[in-house]
Formats: sequence, structure tokens, C-alpha cells
Amino acid sequence: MFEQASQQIAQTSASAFIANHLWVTPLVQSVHILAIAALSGALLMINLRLLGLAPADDRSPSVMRRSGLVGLYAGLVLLLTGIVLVIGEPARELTNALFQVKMVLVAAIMAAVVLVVRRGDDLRREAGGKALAAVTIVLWASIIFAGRWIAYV
Amino acid sequence: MGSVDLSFLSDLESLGVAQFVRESSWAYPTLETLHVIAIALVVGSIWIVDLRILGLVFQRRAVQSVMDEVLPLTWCVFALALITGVLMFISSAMMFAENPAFRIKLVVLVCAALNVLFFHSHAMKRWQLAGGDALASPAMKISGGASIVFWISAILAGRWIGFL
Repeated sequence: MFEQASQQIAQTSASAFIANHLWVTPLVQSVHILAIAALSGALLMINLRLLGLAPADDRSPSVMRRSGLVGLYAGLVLLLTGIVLVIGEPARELTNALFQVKMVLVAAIMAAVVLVVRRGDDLRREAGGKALAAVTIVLWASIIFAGRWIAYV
Repeated sequence: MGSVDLSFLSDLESLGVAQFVRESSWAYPTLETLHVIAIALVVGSIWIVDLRILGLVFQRRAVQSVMDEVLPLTWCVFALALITGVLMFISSAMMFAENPAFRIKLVVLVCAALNVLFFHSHAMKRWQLAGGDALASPAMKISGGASIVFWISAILAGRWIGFL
């Protein structure tokens, strides 16, 4: 299924354009990493609060929700740049086991961030909030690991 | 690099740890991954401080409080980025030293370091002595804006190293 899809994508003019313009892939990968940085900053603010490590003067209840929204916007940029990278090198991505693992992990972390956006303030006072922070941190690190190792498997 | 003696680069490459990184099947990609994790946290956290200084996020919180929350972690993950970066560099020091994107990245990092020095030794100090009120000083804003640009440039140059 993935082999067929990657062959069809490889025949599109968009894929040919990326293959013929050598600056596209590093530029889009750089934007992908910049979005990873933005998402990391947002997750940092959320997790410090879920873990009760934020400073005492931070009484603004909206910080977590707004950080979650920034994280979702960064996720949108990651999705769009990721699609461009798949179109550019479909066989490298779609048929790669780690790429497939990464997509499952991405779905899981998106669910976690949506949960924070929808009921972040309640989570802050619950033990479940700490568990959610731990899960998010592990998922985030695993996604970066899977993403970087796509190039090596 | 002209007449500069670069023989120390081959000395670096012959270090045991450099050979290990070069020859192991997992060491280099693992260092790369840790480097990406560290950079994501360095840049993601420093952007929060920069954007607060520019008055674009967390306007209700004191500038000093945001800096106190975020900057200690920024320094820790920067240490991880530096260590992983140095280990990758010494594994193929001569190749990296010849790479234009790597050279640009070094220049950008020196600029970023000078900006940090300016921020802490001058801009932030004068602002703190003046009472460190809710608004950051113009010097801090310039430094914060420059920081955003330097880190974007560092990531662009860094990602290009593998393509040249």
C-alpha cells in the first residue's frame, strides 16, 4: 500500500520540482526544526505547570491553554512542512518503519495537547496532570528520535 | 583557511572518542538526535524570553520572573547542545572545518554569544539597577530581537551542513 502510494507521489510534478531544486529540502527541514523548537517551548511551559514547577507569581490560568494553542499552531506547520518532505522523498518516508512509528506517536501527542487545551486548568490540580506531563515528555523525545533515525534505517 | 595551521584538526580526529563516534554504527545518529532535542529546547525556551522582552507573550507576568523560570533550563540544554556538537565535530573535524555552512554556523554562534554577553553584562544590568520594571528597556528589546534572528540563522546553517 505504502510502496504504491510512494510511487504515485514520486511521479507528480511537485515531487519532481523538489528533487530538481536542491534548496527546497534543507529549507523545509529547517522550518520543520524551527517549528519543533516552538512546540518544545510551548510544551515546556505546559509541563512546568502540570508538574507544579512554575514560579508562584504565575497565577494566570490561561498560560497553559495559550501555550497549548501555540503548540497546535506549531503542529500545523510541522504537518505542512512534513507533507512537503514526504512529497519530495516519498520512498524515504512512507515505506520507512520509523516514519510509520513516528506518525502513531504524533497522533498520541496531538491527543495529549488537545486535552491540555480543553481542560488545562483542571489538570493542573490533579495527579493525572503529572502523568500527562510525563507521557508528553516521553512522546516528544521519542518523536524526535524516530524523526532523526528515519535517515539511518 | 590560508596559512593557518590546521594540524590540530587531525589531532582531534585521532582522539579515541572521535574514532569511536566515527566508527560506531549508533553513536553519530544518537548524538545528532540529542543535538536536535537540545537545540529545540534551547531555541524554544530562549524564544519565550525574547518574546516576553518584546512584549508579545505573557504580558501579565514580570520580565524577571519569566527569565528566572526559563533561563536556568536554557543553560543546561545549551551545555548538552555544545557537548553533542563538539563530539560530532571532532569525529570529522577536517571535513566540518571545510564546510561553508558549518563555518557560517560558527560565525552565527559567536554573534549569538556576544549578544548574550551584551544582554547580561550591559542591557539587563542597567535595567535591573533602574528597578527592573514591567517593561523591558530598548536595549533589551534590540538584544531580544537579535536573539530570535541569530537562533533562526543557526538552525538554518546547521541544517545545511549535511547538504554541502
